[in-house]
Amino acid sequence: MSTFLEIRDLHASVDGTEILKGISLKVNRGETHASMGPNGSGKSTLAQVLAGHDAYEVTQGEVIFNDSDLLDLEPEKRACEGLFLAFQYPVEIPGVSCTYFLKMALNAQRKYRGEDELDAMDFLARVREKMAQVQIDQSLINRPVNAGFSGGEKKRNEIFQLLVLEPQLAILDETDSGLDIDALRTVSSGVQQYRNENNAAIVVTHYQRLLDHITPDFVHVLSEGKIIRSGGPELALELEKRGYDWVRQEAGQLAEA
Amino acid sequence: MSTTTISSPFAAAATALAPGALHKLQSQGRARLEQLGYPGPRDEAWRFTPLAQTLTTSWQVAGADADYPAVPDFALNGYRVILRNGRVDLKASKLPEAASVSSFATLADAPVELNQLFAESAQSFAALNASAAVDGVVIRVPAGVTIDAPIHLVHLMAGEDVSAHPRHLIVAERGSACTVVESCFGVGTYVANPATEIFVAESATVNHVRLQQDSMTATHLGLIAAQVAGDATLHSYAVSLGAALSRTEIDVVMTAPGGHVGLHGLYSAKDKQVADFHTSLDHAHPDCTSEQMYKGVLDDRGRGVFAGRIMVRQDAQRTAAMQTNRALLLSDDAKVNTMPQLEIFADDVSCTHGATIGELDEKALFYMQSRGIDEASARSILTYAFADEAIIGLPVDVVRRYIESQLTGHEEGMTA
Repeated sequence: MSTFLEIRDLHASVDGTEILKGISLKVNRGETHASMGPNGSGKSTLAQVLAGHDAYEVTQGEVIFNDSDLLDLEPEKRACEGLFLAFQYPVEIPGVSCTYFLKMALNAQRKYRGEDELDAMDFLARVREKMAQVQIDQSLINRPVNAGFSGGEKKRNEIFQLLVLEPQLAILDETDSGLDIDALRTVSSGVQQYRNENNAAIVVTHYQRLLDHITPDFVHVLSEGKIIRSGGPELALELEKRGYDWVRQEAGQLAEA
Repeated sequence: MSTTTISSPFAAAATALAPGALHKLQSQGRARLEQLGYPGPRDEAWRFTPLAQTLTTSWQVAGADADYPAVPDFALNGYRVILRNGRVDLKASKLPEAASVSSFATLADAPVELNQLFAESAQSFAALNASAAVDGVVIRVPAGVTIDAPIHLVHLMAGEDVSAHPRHLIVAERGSACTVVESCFGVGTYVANPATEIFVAESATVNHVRLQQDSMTATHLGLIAAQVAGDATLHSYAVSLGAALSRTEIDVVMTAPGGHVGLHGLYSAKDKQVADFHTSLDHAHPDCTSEQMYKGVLDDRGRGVFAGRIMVRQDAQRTAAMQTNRALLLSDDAKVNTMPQLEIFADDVSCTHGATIGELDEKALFYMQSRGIDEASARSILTYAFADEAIIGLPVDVVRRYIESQLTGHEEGMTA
């Protein structure tokens, strides 16, 4: 059977400080994984390393995505291969409109995959359909990418891009942070509309509340750069009730209280 | 100023025979140039502008029969005057009927406005232009008339070690409106020294574009001087893409209350190009407004220079003047020198100036790459988005799109 995503003993550092200390994780198509953990546990670093941010140096381990070595690829090639990162802090790009940006991205990906580039009409038709799904309006996507957007608008824009680009693997890095309840519902429903048996998602979050809307198949607890416990959705509920310390104690990272 | 060369580098041009309408200009120019000489290395106004090579070459008078570059597509439809090595080719031109457009070579007498704005200039190359001008275009827009399409003045240069010094005069009479687009192209090694005087009468509007895309081995020494009357509006768009060394000086005087001036500029310098803009804005009367936005993109060992002087005289109460120069450095060896100079003698004014020098936003680059856009494209989109702000208001779409296409291979609809 072919490998969709397999992370093997991944170590990564930034400026000589090791952040990821041996992560192993296997994700199959059709699955949703939640990656949880306290601040500084390496959750976001893992997301950035997978997307190819050059601030992080991979010192050990490998990542297989669709049977090839992901870490060999430039960030744009990873995207073209079907990996998508919804940023924790989406970046503002003054002077470049959302629609232009997204059309350029989509067509770069289509070209890479040997598909026809979409013309303006087909692109707009696709965009309109997706806009409705995340309740984003035309005036927002005519504006420069994320420039002057509220926190909620930025996150909605990430999910909007997710829906338009239709990647195989979505990594959502704290997409729930800074959202009010209505925005959380909109964002979650966007993610649910994206999900199907041919794709997968890794949801990085602090809290259970996003997982009320997006039920994970697996929950992993990251702490000090390692996955210290994996379980089913019930693990997230338990973490919500009891916090992280008990898992860390059981993993030997924290002395018994 | 001091004369730094024993024999004048432009001695040949000064022997050229001027037509009747330019006789007086020529003698004025010669006298003035004699007085001023050429800038030396210690001249403050030329501190960052390496003139040595230009001033140690012996430039010849440009001949007429040379292999010129093609007239750009954007000037093919609509009104145009073609200049070859500084001489007007009326046969290749198409003139509007609503305005009087002629060449100095065909005029019997000099218009009264000629050289009013440059006569006192301390700029040697304004005097050089006067001393050596043999032709140029006179545009007079009658009161109340709006010219329905832009008038293109296309400067085509060709030759080795030649120089050309075209002189233009634009007079927009009371309540009239026009858009004049000067574009400069060429092949070879030459000095282009165009000087344009613009008179914007009461309640008139002039849009002036100077697009410089001279040969990469050329020197461009361009001058624009304007006088803006009450309730009149002038917008200048000066874009510098070509030439090894270019200097554009823009000098505007507001001569009555209620005027508005917008100076917009964009410069791009790569390899070892130097692109220099000097602006001077004289708020001599109350209730005038001005905005200046210059943007530079410097790559390789390219260098940009921006010096912007704003004078607000004692009577010029309620002046609002805004000046911005932003430069983007794309390489470690690129450089920009920026020198705002505000002289304010009125007390009820609002004047701001700002200069920023930065690099491409690495976070934005990664964000774009993470969506599948390759790094080179991402860089060019970000560069373009930065530069476009300076020309977003340029009122001639085909020209704006041409400039945009020269900056990157971008497509339409990118900007927001």
